[in-house]
Amino acid sequence: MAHHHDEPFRVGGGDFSDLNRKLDRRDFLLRTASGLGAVALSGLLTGRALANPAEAMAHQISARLGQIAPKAKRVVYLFMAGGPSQFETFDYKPKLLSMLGKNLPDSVRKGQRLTGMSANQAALPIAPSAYQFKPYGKNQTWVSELLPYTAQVVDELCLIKSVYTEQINHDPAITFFQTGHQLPGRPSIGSWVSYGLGSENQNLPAFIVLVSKDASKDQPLYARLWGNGFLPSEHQGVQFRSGKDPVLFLNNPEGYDGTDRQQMLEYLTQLNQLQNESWGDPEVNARIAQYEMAYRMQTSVPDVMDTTREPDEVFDLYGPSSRDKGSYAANCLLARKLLEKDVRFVQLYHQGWDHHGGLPKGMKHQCGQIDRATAALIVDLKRRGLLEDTLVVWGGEFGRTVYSQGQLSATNYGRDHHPRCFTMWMAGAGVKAGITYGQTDDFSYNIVKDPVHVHDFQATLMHLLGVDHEQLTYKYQGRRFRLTDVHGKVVNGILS
Amino acid sequence: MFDFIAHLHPLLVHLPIGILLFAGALMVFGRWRSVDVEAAESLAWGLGAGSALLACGAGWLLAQSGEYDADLVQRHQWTGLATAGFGALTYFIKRYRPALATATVLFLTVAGHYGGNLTHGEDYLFPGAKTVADTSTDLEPTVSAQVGELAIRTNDSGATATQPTVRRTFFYRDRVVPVLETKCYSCHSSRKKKGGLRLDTEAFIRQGGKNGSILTPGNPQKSKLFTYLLLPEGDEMHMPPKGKLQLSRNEIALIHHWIKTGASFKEQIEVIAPAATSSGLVAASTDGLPTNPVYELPVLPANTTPPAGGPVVNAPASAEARLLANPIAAPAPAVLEKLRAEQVTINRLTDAGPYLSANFVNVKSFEPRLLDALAGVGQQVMRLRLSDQPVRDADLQTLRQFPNLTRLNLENTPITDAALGHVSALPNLEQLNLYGTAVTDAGLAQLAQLPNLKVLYLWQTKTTPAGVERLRKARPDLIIETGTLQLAKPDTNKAL
Repeated sequence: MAHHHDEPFRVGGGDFSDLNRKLDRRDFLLRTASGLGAVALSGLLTGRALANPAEAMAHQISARLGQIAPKAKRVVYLFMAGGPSQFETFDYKPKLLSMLGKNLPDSVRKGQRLTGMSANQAALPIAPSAYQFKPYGKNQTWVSELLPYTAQVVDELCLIKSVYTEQINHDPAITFFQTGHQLPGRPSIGSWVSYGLGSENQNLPAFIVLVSKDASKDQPLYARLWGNGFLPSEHQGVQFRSGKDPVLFLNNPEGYDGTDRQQMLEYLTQLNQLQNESWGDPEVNARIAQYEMAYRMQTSVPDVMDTTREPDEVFDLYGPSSRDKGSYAANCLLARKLLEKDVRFVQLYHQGWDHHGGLPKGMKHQCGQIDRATAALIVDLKRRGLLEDTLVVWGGEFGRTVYSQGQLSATNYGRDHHPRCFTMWMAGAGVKAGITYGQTDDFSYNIVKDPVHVHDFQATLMHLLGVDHEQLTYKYQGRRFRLTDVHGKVVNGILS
Repeated sequence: MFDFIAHLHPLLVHLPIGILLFAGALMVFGRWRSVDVEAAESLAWGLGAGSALLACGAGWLLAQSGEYDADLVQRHQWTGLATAGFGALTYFIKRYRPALATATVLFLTVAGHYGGNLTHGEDYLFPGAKTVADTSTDLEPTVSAQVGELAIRTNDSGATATQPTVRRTFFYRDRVVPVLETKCYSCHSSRKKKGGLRLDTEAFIRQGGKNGSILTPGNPQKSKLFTYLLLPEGDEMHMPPKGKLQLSRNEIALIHHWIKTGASFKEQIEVIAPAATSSGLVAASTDGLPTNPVYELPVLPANTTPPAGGPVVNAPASAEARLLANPIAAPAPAVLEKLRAEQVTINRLTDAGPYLSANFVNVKSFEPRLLDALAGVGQQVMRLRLSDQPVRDADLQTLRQFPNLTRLNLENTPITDAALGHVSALPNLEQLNLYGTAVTDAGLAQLAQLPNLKVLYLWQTKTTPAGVERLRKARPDLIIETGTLQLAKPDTNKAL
């Protein structure tokens, strides 16, 4: 009541306080863009924000944690789409070996509803991992033989064995992980980060997406997973591809002169500006920003995509497939180059982890694709001094069941979706290295210690970037939204 | 129970105010329009008098708490009782009703005014009325003054540098009292003494409140006068209470400084030899060292609640945390604007602090003049990233103007050992990235003297294991990253 003056002044559907705030931050981030950008923006930024850059700084989005400098500056999120099994990777369950084929006790499942894929099975036979585990590193952390390279950097990782989600099917579960809500339409984590923190590099998008071309596409990915939702559209993830045009429609058409393009864009900016003056729609500014970014990317993208100057030693580190553009390994190498250029949020997707049947063979193939390059990324970031302020995240959208879906033999079985516990890891900035957090029961069916909900993971990621997940909000359709909805607790136990 | 009724007083008093005024209005209305409102009027006078009596009862209980100025309470009490009394007479004696009614309303007004003074302070309605006497002492406008001035007052007599200077400081009167006056007196002085505490004289401050002492000279952590200011605003014990005007960070630091330095209530007079003034202050002004020191407040961990009763304040964990806790002057806007126009990315390191990070990632071609320009905010720059830029050794001479630098990125620059001579003069440097440079063991030796250095990146330099080992011996606390973490080829003989 006493604070009604704090309510944003609204015209039509546009929220003017947000608009101003955005302009201030845009001012802060983009004013240095010379030529086209500077001309376009100095006309846009009127009044207070333009008059005093120091004041403009003070109007940055103030969801920051305040007096402590954030530990993480950048994030690289290695998303394993499909739901990798925790049993064949990190969650070692030796007691299961003696229970091969026995029915999962009701006392463990406690009547949990199963998916339609295994609910009608006559039995739920326990399937121990077909692969061996060995302890690695200073802390003797158990890792599967399928991840021999990751095992060598396990002392840099923070394994979280007690992640759980609320969704049991792929699309809602991935959407939940990436946006904080199971229904489509909310902004992706990277978009929130871009909106909240912007980018230090004005020539590349703050949020870049790389999808492995060498993965089996058993479950689809949609561009909305890296969409901006209701945030201004310059915060959407930009997908870099492996073909001739890394970013589609970025280059000038054959025979079209660059000067012409620049003039055209200048006039277009003026038109957009007129439109903005009469309507005040924030999306007009987003459009201007995107044109400017695209213009700068015409030179910056070919530069950063060029891996020919990387020494052989680097390709050897990431493995032979790193020479094959668009592969997971090549994407890891590219991610390192983007992070080196201070891109804020790089998201990789690697599909093909949905092993309802033929899991031992499938897991061997999948792990073989990602293991070496993932470990190489850690090594490469560390020696370059980037790991100290880059957060690396690895994980899928849910785990898999202890019981076999379909026929069980010693060397062949399948596993159904399991949302109640699975393993992720984080490494780098602000995270304790070489620890295991959380614990599951002997069947890796239920969590017995330190559960970490998807929203808790998201809250922690934001915290490491210096953002209070409860403060970073965006008003849309009459209410304020945030990444973690009304949930999420920072997992203090993993913070260094 | 009594407390509950007592606390109802501020609510109850509004009943007689409303009802009695309405009764008066009815009376005037009836006589003016010649309408018969006799029954309604009597009801109103009766109810008004009754509710006034109730309010008096509750008010008497409230006065027993003793937290209010006794004299003012007396006046409020008797006028209040008179209101109730005359209200009752108005009800019973219809013959003299107009005269009695007038008296009732007059007493009501006066009692209400006194009540208002009790709650909001005597200067609430007529500000300035009381301060004539106070301002006659020649107090400078301290509230808005730069608190740091005091410490450098020595140069008042800078013209006669050969003579000893007398420094007179009356910290308590000039600095502490104005804070207490604006932020604390409304509840802790002669008019009210919440919690049995008054802060308006030395004796009262030393005496403390109902819960004991509030001041331990020399130890702010044991002084509630300081620690209660740090509690989260939602905490019951946080001072000033939620909703009241809060102390600024600098004011809190000021209280901390005062207690830490002994909490003197007296004026201090020091005689300073001429040598001290010249060496201390002349150097300060030419070097550009802080001429505007601000009080030191230990860094508080973000989002942590100090334990109730006695919050423990952590010692500064690092040079960076220590500096962040000591805000200096804000960066000059003109310098920032100029640098941004040159594509230097500058961000605030924390939400509102003056410290900056400067990143040259967008700069197309580095020129020494950019670093010279950045030196205009050299005090404020804490992190500097010059990676991949053609920086030469001589350019880094400018680094001496960045005394608060904690992180420096020089990787992949053409610098040599000569540059490390300039680097080793950085007193607060904690992290230094030299990977991909031509530095040798000879350069390393110079780094051993950096008092705060914690992390050093040396991958792909011309240093030798022996040189690194020597540095390790000299500085066992130092983390040296030489890129030794390698991935070994795993044993692949094992069959599935």
